[in-house]
Parts: sequence; C-alpha cells; structure tokens
Amino acid sequence: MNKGLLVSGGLPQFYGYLEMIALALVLLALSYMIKRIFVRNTHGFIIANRQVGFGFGVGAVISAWTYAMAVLMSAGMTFQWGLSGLLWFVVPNGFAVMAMIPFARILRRSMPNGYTIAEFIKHRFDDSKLASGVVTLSVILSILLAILINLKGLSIVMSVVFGIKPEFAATASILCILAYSYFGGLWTSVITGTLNTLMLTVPSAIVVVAVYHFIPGGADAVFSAVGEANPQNLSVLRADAAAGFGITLAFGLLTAVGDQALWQKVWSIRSREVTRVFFWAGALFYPIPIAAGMLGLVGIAYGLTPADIGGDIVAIGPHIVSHLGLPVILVLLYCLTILAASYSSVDAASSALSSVVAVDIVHRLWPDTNERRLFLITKVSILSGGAVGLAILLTGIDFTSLVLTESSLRTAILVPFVLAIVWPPTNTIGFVAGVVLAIVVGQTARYFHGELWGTLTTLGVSGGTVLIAGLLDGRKFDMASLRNVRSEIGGDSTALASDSQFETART
Amino acid sequence: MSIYHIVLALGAVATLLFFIGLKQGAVAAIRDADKTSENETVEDGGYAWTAIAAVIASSTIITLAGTSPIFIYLGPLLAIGSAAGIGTAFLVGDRK
Repeated sequence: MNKGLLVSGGLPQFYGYLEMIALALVLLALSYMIKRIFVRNTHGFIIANRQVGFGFGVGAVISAWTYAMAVLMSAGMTFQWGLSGLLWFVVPNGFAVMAMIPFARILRRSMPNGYTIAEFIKHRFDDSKLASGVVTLSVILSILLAILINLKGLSIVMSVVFGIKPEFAATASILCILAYSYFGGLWTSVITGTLNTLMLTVPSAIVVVAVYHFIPGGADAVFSAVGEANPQNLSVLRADAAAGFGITLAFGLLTAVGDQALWQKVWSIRSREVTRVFFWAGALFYPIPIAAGMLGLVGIAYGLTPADIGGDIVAIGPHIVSHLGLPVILVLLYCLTILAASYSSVDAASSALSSVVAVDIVHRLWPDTNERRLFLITKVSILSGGAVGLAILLTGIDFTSLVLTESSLRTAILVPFVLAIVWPPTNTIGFVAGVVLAIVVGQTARYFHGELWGTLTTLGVSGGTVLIAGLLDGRKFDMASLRNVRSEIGGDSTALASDSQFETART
Repeated sequence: MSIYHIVLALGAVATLLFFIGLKQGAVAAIRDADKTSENETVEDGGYAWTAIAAVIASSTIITLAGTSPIFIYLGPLLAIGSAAGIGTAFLVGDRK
C-alpha cells in the first residue's frame, strides 16, 4: 500500500453548501415544532421545565459531548501515535462524562432548583460576587471555545472534502445552527441533539467499514501495512503517547466537571434519571471515537505524512474518505457525521450560554427585568455567542491566547469547585485564593516546565489552598441550605417541591 | 455476504429501533410537557463499578484492534449498537 494509490479527492462545493443547509432546514423545521409544543417562557427555554427523560437525556449528553473535533482527533491521534493515541484520546473522554455522576447527584439533590454552576457558587459562598464572577467568566470562555473548536473542525472537513474556504464554511454553518437554536432553546438542543446522535453513530460506522471494504485487501492489508510501518502502531502501551499528550489530555478532559453545557443537562433532566443518563451517555459514547479512530490506521497504512494532508493531522479522516474513490453518497454520509457533531455541540454550547446570560448576568445585574424582556435577551444571547465565535474565527486571530486563558481558568477552578460540592469546610477565601494562586503559580510552572507540570501545579495549588483555608477556619457549610434556594427564573414548577419527598429519596 | 453488507443491515435495524424509540419518547415528552417535576433522586449505587467496567471494555476493544484485523470492525459495530442503545433507552422509559 502506498499513497500513490489514492485518487485525487474533492466534491463540488455546491454539495457541501447543500448538505449544510439541508441539515439546518430539517432541524429548523423540527425546532419550530418544538417551540410550539414545549417552550412557553424563559424557564422552559433554558431548563426545559426539568422534564427531560432518560432517552432524550442520553442522546442530548452524547451529542453535546461529541465535538466535531473529537471525531476528527480520534483519527488524528491514531494516525500520529497508533492505537496508543486512540486509547489515550478515547478512554478519558468517555470517563469524563461518567465522572460527572457523583457531583451531579449531590448538586441535583442539594440544589434542585439550580440552573448554572456560577449560581451554585454564588449561593455556596455567601453571595460572593468575586467567586461567582470568576466562574461565570470561565464558563463563558469555555462556551466560546466550544463554538470555535467545532467551527474549526467543521471548516477543516468542508475545506478538505469540498474545497470550501474555511471562513465561508464557518459562516454558513454558524448561520445554519443559530437559525434553529434561536427558536426552541434547551428543548431544541435536546431533541435535535438526540437526532444528531443517530448521525454520529450509524453513518459513521457504515463509512468506516466501507473504507476498509473498498481498500484492496481490506482490513488484513491495512493491518499488515500498519505493523510493517512500525509495530508500535498496533500497541496501546507506547509511553511517548502518554507523555506526549495523553496524561495532559486526561486532566484537561476531567475539567468537564465544570462544563455548563453538561450541568445544564443535570438540572434539566428529571431528577431520578440523572445518574443513569450520565452513565449510559458515557458508555454509549465510547464506540463513536473508537470507530472514527480506525481511519487513522488507514492513513498510516498508505504511508501518508502530515505534510500530505495539509500539515494538520486532524484532516486525516476526511482526507482518507475523500481520496479513496468511495461512492459520493458515502463521502456525503461522513460529512453528515461531522456536521451533526458540530451542529449539536455548538447548539448545546449556545443553549448553555443562554442559561448563563439569563441567570448569572441579567437576573443578577438587573433583577427587575420582566419575563418578556428576559426571554428576548436570552434568545438574543444565543445569536451573540455565535457571532462572537464567528468574529474571532474570521479575523484570523490565533485563538491560542483564548485557549490558554480558558484552560488555565478551568483547570484552576476544577479542584475548588469539586471540593465546594463534596467538602463542607470549603470557604469563600479558600475558593477565591485557590483559584487566583493556582492561575499565577500554575501558569508560571507551565511557562518554565511545560504543560504537564503546569497542570499538576495548578491542581495542587488550588486544592491545597482550599484545604488549608478550610481546615484553618473549621466552619462547615450546610449543603441542605441550598434546598431553600428558589428558582432564579419565574415559572419553575419544582420550586416548591416538598421536603418530605426529598427526605424519602435520601433515605 | 461481506462485513460491509452486514453492517449496512445492522445499521438499518438500529436506525429503525432508534426511530421507534424516538417516537415513543417524543409522545411521552409531549404528554408530560406541562407536568411538574419531582425533586426525587434515586440512590442507585453501583455505578462506580459499571463505569470502571465501561472504561476497561473500551480499552480492551482498542487493544484487540492491534491483535487481529477482524477486531478493527468492533468499534463500528458497537457504534451501531449505541444507536440501538439510545432507541432502547426510550423504550425502557423513565422510572415510575
């Protein structure tokens, strides 16, 4: 096998635009119906009246968590590191979703009327504006980054397969997503996301198997060529993959515990379904990147180098699919998978942004805002998030600084946030000092000693500070007091749920 | 019959199951749209072990792909299983 056997790839640009718009029109029609049935006020828009059931919950969590870049990177990491790359990329990814379970159970039980993690921090730390402000900032940056990463992933595929300029692909796709996100809020996100999960699974599996089917010699030939290129490619024990990106990525993914797109699901899913939704979402997520990762082996087998595919290893999946001479329908199916991943993740991020804007910004700064105006602002915030994300992408700014800022904030908040949930002595001074010190010391360590030591230092300093402050102070926060937190947004039918129900459930 | 055709057939079955489940889930969601939710949580422990089992299973599937070419198809087959799993989740429904 050699790369000379690959055909020149590429489909007409028209096909790419048609696919983007067609998917959006289907989702738009669906979201219009959803809006008419489910959405009556801001509460319904941002938290789906806390009525999301088991099936929709599983689909929505998988679709929110499966970024376009995750599908592409699983093949990219396999291409670069062999099966060790796939292992280190996939395993922490699914585990991160399931790692939400213990914290989700505690917070959903303790603060049943919650909407956002910044809101929890506000009530947990005596209305501390600084603590909740830091978390709000971190959440907004994370949401912007999620939008950017997904637009970037989609742009790569549209560029490789259809030759569409990345900026045109990003503009068209964000317009498509915002058109349908604007209408229905979280219910739209949940239902369209569930539908997109079908596209992330079945078409993706068919395309990967088709790739092996159409290669002369099939899986046997690929397997032999990969082993001949380097026997280590077929091993999952490459230490350089763990050191090169695996360990850092694993820590990075665990910061999903602070992902508002997932927490919004925690508070919107029926309380008794939260645990099994997150377990099954994590378990059923696993096969998606594993399947997509098999395209990376094909890239190795053909002897491709990053330079052959434009320098970016994440382009290996679309490059293989579009250069093997597969039937057009299969190439379009693969692109549908990426579109589905991108649309559903951006939609989920936009929906998360709407909850933050409503609860943590508008309601906090202007508590007298009436329902009608709040509903409008909430919907417009979805558009503004997409517009800001697109603007950053179109200006061609290297968003490394945004990634670093978001990453440092999210990593610094991780341990204090977790301790705030599970360790009652955690106090305001410890939380704020832990986050600030972790950013300063952690970023310094990162600058001098690299990514891994920077991450470990950040986690150690933030956690250590919270522990010391908590032990010195000695007072314990009563988590049960959070049950008295009333719904921030009107129309919450759960606000007055009886305590007896809660006690019954606890016992 | 090649594995490609088997996957096509399984994909069709999983898609059908997904939509049957989705329809049932949508009907239930519309029916319950105006209901008030209950703040009950079920203390269903044991997820730590099943989560660890899921992690081990995924690691094993990737490891197996390096032992024989036939296991390369395991990931795609399980991805189809995920679609069927979501359909089943709708059919299983919520706890009463």
